[in-house]
Amino acid sequence: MRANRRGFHGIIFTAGVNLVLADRSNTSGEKDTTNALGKSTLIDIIDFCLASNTAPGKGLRVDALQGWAFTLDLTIAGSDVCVTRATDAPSFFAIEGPTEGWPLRPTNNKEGVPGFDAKKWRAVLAWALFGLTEASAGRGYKPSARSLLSYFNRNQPAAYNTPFKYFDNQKVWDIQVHNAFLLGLDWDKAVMWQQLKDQRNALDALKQAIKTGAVDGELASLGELEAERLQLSTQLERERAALSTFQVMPQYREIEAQANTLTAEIHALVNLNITDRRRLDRYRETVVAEGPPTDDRLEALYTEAGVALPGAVIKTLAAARAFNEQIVTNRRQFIASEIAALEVGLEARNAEIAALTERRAGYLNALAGQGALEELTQLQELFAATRLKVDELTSRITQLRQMTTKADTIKVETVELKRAAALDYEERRPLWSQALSLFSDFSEHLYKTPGRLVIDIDDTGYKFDVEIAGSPSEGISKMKIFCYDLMLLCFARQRGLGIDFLIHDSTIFDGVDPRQRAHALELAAEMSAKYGFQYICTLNTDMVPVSDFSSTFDHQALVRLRLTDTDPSGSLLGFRY
Amino acid sequence: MILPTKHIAEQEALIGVGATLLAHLVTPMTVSGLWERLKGEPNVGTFERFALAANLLYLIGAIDLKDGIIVRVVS
Repeated sequence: MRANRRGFHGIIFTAGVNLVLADRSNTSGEKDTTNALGKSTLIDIIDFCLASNTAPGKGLRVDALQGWAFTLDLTIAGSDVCVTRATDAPSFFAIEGPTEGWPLRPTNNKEGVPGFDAKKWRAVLAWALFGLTEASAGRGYKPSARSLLSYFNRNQPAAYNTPFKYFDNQKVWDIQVHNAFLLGLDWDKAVMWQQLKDQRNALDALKQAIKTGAVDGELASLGELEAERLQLSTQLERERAALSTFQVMPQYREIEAQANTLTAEIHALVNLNITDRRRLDRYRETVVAEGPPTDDRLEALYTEAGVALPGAVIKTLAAARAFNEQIVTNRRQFIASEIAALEVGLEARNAEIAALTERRAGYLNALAGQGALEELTQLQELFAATRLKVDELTSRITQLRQMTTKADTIKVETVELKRAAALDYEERRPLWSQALSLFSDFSEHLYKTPGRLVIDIDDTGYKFDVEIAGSPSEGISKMKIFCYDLMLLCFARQRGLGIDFLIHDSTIFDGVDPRQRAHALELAAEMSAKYGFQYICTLNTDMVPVSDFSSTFDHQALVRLRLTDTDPSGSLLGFRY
Repeated sequence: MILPTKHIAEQEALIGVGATLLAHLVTPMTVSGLWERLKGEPNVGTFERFALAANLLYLIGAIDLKDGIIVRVVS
């Protein structure tokens, strides 16, 4: 491991156990610390060169490390190459060395330096370290080189909490797929579990969205919707029938207007008749009520006139009689002619009313069963609206049916998947039992009783657990991770995978009894020799269990680098930031 | 019956009715036309009284009938 700046402590790791120690010197004061010497930075740098995700201002991309570039010399699929990644241009991985036979070949960047972008470099690592090709992982959920690497280079404190997770919020599918891959189980099954879960979640989300009104629709029962559809369909049928028998009359409006005019005329005539009939009645009463003066009265008048108005009377009684006769006759004749005229008028009007009524009936008959164009249009609009509603309802019913069917299918598929996974699990027993026995071997190496790695299959997929007697203690839970990781690596080597290193931060030994620390390091040395890998571990010098190593174990020979706290140049980067 | 007396009020006497009749007869009128006008007057009342008043006016030569139309006689 190298860097482009002076002051950086380059390291050469060899096969077997490699210790990086942070010394606490005698001259350092109480407040000096072995923290921030660069133990974690070292792990970060390896990860950085192995295409870890980076964000500006975080990890190695802080201001203080601007202009730095780190180089890792490593053997990839039998070729010795150097990979260099700069903090300023983290998206490019410069590659030096032979790359014949690789599925991807480096291409030159703008400066003419051969290399990969992060995606391609990860693909090469996936192929070289884990035998994964693009073809074997075409779908959404798949094992990724980065996730798999994280089990061999646990690069953050949260990675030391449980063997199966390398960060806190790791998704269930992520845990299942990668551990299944590393344990020789069918990771495809884990993917399918996740896909079924996704479908179920999507269905639930859809239901929830409908329930809360975020998505249009209502969560009525299928029966309610069907009833509503039936009712609407009947209405639609009625409207269709009305439409099919509807006839448009072109002169509809004219005829309607004429019929209306006729009606008005008829009303006027009827009104006239009413007034006339009243007059007629009055005249008839008059004939009865108007009594003319009798002859006696006339004579009396004549006599009195002669007395009261002597000399004024110039007409004879006979003339008076004739005058009176004429007045009375005139009046009678007038009334009689009036009555006759009114009766004739009434008769004529009645006849006219009858004629008009008949004509109007004719018009109304013509209109019956037919309509104007705009009525047809209105009827058609009504029909279209109803049909739209029926269609909407039908699609909602279909949707609901599909949702119900889909939910059932998911249930069936889950059961089927569980069965298939169980079968597959049985068939793979020879393979994974190697992993299990490695784990119990390793745990037995550290503690009196062997621990157990447990693989279960339940409705939610693979379940993993490790047990070592006395589990709750911090030290023991750290050693579970140690055993698990060591097992993963040995198992991977047994299966012929390319991965050949395991890196642990000093955190792995926090709270671990010195005797187990010593056993662990000796175990790592033994296994790395047996399976041919590197075990890299950072430690504070005072944590090295010097007195607990067996006499044959030369831990001094394993120290590749000592970082000191006496002055900044003793730290990994040659300065502190 | 013609003149007002102790028992007959002025407007009830035929002479009064005649005066009312004359007042309405501004142009020559038919018997019916004049009657229609006068029957609403309070002192006329019945057709009989109307005819008697007309007779009285005829007797003293105040009105005449010409071709069925009542006319005032100009003295």
